[in-house]
Amino acid sequence: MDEAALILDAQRGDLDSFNRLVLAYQDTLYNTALRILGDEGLAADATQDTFISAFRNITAYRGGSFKGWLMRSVINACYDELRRQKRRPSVPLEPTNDEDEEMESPRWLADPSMSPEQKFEADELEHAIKHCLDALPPDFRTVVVLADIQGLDYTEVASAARVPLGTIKSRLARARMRLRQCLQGFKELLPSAFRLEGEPRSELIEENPL
Amino acid sequence: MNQVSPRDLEQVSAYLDGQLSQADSTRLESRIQSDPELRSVYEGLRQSRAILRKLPQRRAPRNFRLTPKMAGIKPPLPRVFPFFRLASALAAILFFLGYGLNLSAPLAASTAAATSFSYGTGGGDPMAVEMAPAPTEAPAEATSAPKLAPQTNDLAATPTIEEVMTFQVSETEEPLQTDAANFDAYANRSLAAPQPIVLPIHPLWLFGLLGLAVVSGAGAFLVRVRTEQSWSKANAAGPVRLGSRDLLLMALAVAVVVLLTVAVYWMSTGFSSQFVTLSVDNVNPPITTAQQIPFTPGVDNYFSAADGQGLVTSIEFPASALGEATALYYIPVLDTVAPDQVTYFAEHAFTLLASPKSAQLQAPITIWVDYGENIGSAADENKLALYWWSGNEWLDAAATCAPVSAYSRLPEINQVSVPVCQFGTFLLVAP
Repeated sequence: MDEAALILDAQRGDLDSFNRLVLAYQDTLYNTALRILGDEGLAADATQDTFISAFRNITAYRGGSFKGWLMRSVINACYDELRRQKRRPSVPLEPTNDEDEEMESPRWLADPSMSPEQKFEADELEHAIKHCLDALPPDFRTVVVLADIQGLDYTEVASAARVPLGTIKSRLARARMRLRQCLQGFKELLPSAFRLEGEPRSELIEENPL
Repeated sequence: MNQVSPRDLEQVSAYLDGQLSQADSTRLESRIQSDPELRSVYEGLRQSRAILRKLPQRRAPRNFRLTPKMAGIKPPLPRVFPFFRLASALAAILFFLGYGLNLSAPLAASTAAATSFSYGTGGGDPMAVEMAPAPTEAPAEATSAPKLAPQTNDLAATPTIEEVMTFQVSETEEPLQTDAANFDAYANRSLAAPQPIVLPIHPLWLFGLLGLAVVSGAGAFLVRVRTEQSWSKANAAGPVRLGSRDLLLMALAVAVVVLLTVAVYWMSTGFSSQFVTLSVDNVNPPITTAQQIPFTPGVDNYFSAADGQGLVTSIEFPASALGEATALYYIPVLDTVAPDQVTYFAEHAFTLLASPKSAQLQAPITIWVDYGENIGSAADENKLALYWWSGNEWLDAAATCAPVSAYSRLPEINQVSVPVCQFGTFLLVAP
């Protein structure tokens, strides 16, 4: 897929080309929105709104990372939604309700490498992570979602969240710290390799990402 | 672990992401080795980060591809659409302009009537004249060379109809008051009826414009819907359906068009009676003297009146003709203008009225009119006829009877007579 050519066609009003870009990025945007908003329905709405406004404003895109441009847009949509929620607070959904289970990703269900127990465990872990993410202030959550879940580098995060690099660094550190404290409460869910105690120290040096 | 400073925390976090310089990394590594607090923080952050990175990506629950509708892409307007729209708008504007002009016409007409009462050039169809000024002069005057002397002599001295009526009521001492009131109303009505309202814009034009507006509006709508349908078929955007809002708008449009049609129809037919009620007061000089026709019920009655030139109009009322009529009046009408369709107007006009106004003739009455010598070369004496105002057009008075009655013309004594079957206003003309 020649992304640049597709973007150019989309800028000329070709909806088919734009829809190919949608297919390429919809999972990324949806996951980002899902982790920030913590709700599948709202995340889907934010994703759809992002693509709609992206198509309408695509002539405003002037090079650079298209993914970053979309990310910035989806984060905007998420913040709009969070602001809306703040104005009209509603009862939050429990992380383990039936609807959540129904909306389970088909790919996840189809994964043959997981036993039902593993799947259940991972599912539980995901709920724990969601719980801890939701407990973070939105600004912290956004940074940690972009950096650790979506794997963006610092400059990409700064661009997408429209926050200076220094702020990203401090927010990320504090968000990770809070998450760690929160996840300690779900120790029994964590895969043994991630548990704090009894971890061989030698791994420390090997994993250093230098 | 909480004793770690925010700066150290940031350093550890950045170190995990490989964002520290070589020197800072080395320094931090050695500190982590020696400081258990810092090591604990390092481990904690590393694990949190690893757990988050392991978090499975969910697949989008649905496809977020945009439909043309979501993208705000509208089907192209058909090329003829602006033409239809413009035509419709122009026709509507012209329609309302014309309608407004016509609405203001009665006002102008009644103003004109206040200065000169006349039977008007509208003639048989008061709507037939387009863009013509309110009639103030008799075209007959121009065409008929040896015309009768005008009867407009000494108008100021003659009593008005109201004075006559008042006089009669006090004189008779009979319960004529209601009759007088009826007569008054009837006189007003009868006089108002022949007053032509010359509409500046012929109602046919208005109907045409309204039709054009409707047809081109419907055309615009249809070509648009057709284009939208073929477009959405081509773009797989789903069928175009008419919403309840569209249906409501269409119903509203139909209602408006029906209302306007009725309004124009009403304007073209009901104008003379609906809009203009000339009162006796502002008709000047419509009537000189109203004469009550004396009659005895149950026997044949005969009446005659002479005008200023000694020319006599005579009427025979058979005993069976008068029905419920309790009073009869003969009113010469002066300063009249000939209907358009006649070639000659003898300037002789009069109104026959009965009270109560519901009274109808039960049998033909015969009217004799003397027209004098002067008519000579101006018209064919063998074609002279009485015309009768039906409320919206002039008809041959003979046609008021069924079967149509026959004229009896006596050129040698300058007299014409015809049986008629309606009260009302009559004119002597040559068609």
